[in-house]
Amino acid sequence: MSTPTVVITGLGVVSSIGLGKEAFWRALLAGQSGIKRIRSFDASLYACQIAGEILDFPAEEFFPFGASARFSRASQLALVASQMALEDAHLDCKCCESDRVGTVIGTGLGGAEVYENQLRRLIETNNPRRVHPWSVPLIMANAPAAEIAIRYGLKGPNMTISTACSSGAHAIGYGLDLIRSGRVDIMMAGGTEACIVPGVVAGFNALRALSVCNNEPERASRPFDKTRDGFAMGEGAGVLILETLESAKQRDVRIYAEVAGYAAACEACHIVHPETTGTEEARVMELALEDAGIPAGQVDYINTHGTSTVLNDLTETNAIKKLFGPHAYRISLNSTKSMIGHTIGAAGAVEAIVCALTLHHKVLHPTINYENPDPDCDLDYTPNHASEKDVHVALSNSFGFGSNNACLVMKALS
Amino acid sequence: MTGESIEARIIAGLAKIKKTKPETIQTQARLIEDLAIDSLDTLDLIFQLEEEFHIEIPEEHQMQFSTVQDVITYVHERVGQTIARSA
Repeated sequence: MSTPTVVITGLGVVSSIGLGKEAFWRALLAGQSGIKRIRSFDASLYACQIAGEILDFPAEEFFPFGASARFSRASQLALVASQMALEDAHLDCKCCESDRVGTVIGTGLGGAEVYENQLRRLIETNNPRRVHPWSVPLIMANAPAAEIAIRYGLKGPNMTISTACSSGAHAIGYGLDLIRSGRVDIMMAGGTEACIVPGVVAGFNALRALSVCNNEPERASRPFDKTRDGFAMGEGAGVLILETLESAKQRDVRIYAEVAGYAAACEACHIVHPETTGTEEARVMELALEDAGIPAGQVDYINTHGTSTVLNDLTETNAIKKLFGPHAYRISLNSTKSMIGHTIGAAGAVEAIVCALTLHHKVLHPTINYENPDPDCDLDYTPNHASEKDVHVALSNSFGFGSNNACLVMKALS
Repeated sequence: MTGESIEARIIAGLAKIKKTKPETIQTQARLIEDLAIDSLDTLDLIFQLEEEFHIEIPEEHQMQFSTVQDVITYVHERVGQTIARSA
């Protein structure tokens, strides 16, 4: 049996700049920032007081009669994104062989806000009986994937991948691998994160990883700009419907792009720092292209990891130059994080959605806040304005804490 | 605390657990057979009652709850005892 071609037929995204792929894509092309002063808790004592929160999330609309209390925010975002993806793909799970449909969701922190709230109750009351019986099913990292499967009756493999900032990309890669293996026909694959909670923000602050551009939040995330000073955290979720080309053709549905290749590789270097020569990041991109069977010279777009930290953006630039040589200067790059911040476990999935939309619409969204060129970061980052480009092959880079690197290769179907 | 308010608050709590409107829950309804309350729902209910009415419900008392009315009656008695003790 030949390895099936895997395509993307549905997209669902929930972000600080828009709910649903249309609003999200419109905001991206307009260069709209979702970074604002934190509203969900009093961050006045924090070095970083800004984030990409989803302020207009209509929980009651999606979870009526207070049902949202039964889901962590990460699960809520994932459930909404999965509903959008299914509708976009015109997929009725009741009409599928349910054990041939799987779910894989990436998340770095799971139900972090539930954990914090319950721990606070325990400490404040000094009474273990005041910890809610639903705490564990809400906190556990695999709740988002499980809740999606329960809601839609998906009886195929149900997996959760937690590799920090590359979780969402690895989830899509794992979904691709499962379909290629012939064990499933369709995968709901994505990532979710609801990380704007005091302990998590304080932790990233303590690492000095976050921008402290508190007075101009929308300018805080400025990947590849010489004055970049750290990332802005964001919450969000992205879910993609992956299926075999055969299944998509049988169902006669729109195909955004093919997921042509994937690689996972560990730097085995440092728990948070990248290997700074870029050798390791270049290696994961090379492996992904090998998996796709596509020569490096055919790549015309890279959705970068592009966090806006000094080290990440320099290392990623070095890695791209190392792998692609002179062709690196012909590749268009951009950073979705310049607008929505770093959505940690969701980032790789949301950025894969961006690649699918870019391949579909043939337009590149800008990297916003690019004002001061850095001589060490001298590639084409699509500064400040969207631009049209006939993109055929796109890479999506995701580099996670724990030395966990992922690269996805997507291409337009000929 | 009036009897009516206790009943309304318990029904509101059950409606939240069952993700439904309070008016769909009748006092004579059986928790397991009619409302499909499972073991985790029961724990949720006990937690809510303890929080809402500032009482502690021992495991052995929880066995008494067969219908919504049983819960209401139990809370009435416990809240009455609390008020009597504090009077």
